Amino acid sequence: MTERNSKDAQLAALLGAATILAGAAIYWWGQIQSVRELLEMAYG
Amino acid sequence: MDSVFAYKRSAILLLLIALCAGFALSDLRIDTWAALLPFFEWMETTPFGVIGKTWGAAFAAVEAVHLLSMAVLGGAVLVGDGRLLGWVFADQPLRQVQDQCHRVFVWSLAVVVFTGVFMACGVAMKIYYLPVFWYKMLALATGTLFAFFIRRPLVSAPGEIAPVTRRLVAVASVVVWFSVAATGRWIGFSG
Amino acid sequence: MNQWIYDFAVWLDTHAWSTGLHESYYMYNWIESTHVITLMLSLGMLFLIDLRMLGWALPQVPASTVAKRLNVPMLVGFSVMIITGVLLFYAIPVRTAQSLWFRIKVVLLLAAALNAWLFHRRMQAAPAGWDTAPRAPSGLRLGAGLSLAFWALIVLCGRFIAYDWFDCNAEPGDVIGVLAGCTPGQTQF
Repeated sequence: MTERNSKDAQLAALLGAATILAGAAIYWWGQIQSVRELLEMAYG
Repeated sequence: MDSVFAYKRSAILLLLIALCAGFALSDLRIDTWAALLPFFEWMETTPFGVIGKTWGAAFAAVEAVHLLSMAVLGGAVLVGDGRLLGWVFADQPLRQVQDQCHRVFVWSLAVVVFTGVFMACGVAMKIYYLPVFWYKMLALATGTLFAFFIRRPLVSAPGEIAPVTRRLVAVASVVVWFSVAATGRWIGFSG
Repeated sequence: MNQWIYDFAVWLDTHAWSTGLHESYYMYNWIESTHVITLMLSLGMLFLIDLRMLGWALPQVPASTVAKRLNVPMLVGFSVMIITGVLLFYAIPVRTAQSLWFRIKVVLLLAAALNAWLFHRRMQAAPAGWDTAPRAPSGLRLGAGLSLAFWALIVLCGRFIAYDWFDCNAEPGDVIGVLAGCTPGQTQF
């Protein structure tokens, strides 16, 4: 039983971590892009 | 053969992610935001809100405590995740280090949230209209749920953890808490 | 002394890079954010060492192991703090040099450095086997407590620098004016 619980915990961890990393990548990429666009508008 | 019930935690997680995605992409998000306006207006009228708005030194002092507890939380997260990656205390038992870091993490999280609520009351109407505040809340909720319901069961369950899982969890944990801190700092520069 | 500090700050202020840094919204805020967020590395590690000495964190890991292993990331963190801190001072030299809170912060930083040096000496002089106990000997506990107190006040002063209660152009009164280093007839603030 503990063996199965541990498998579940590992799968959930993998899914959760992947979701966080994907979400953070999208958020920070968007932030960097918007700052870059602003700076390009200001300085060409 | 594993039944679906053996993967309860993973199933709940997937359901939660689907619900969050549906919420974010539907009008429900805007409706909920609009419905929360009276709550944020009320926050400014609470004693915390009144003190935070009228007594600058008190607000700054609470902010300093917020930063200090953030430092302790960061220390606990970095050491715990550093141990998962095998960068610090590699010769110390994994579960022992995780247990002790988790205790520090819980205490510092309590202080961070308490001082955070105080500060939020003082600037409730400002943050209500700041997207970065809502991103911070999303990151904070994600980080807290991840820490208690995913990372914690993983490191306290018996048996080996696959190296890929161990590394991904550690990096995700550091990334999510960095995001909470960084978006929080940006609240101060905005509005 | 105050005149010399004022002249030095005014000289720094004439640098084009100082003005550029001050006026660059993203660069200044990026450095400021790095300064604040690196607290998680520098003070995060330092506080864990201090809390270990007091028996409040990682009680089962030997105290000397905690102090030794967390030392390197802590020093990396403090290096970033110093670099970003100097840049923040360089961006706004005159007002910062004449900030009462900045001056208290510098004194406290020196006190914290002295305390850290004494702590290190005490740790090396401690009798063998001290570090497996959940709490360190009283001398080290005192040093850890002082470290926590100094750094709490340093963060508080750092946060207070942003407020203009005692700025020289607000004419803060004689005593605070001297402590803050306000110079009679100064033209820059």
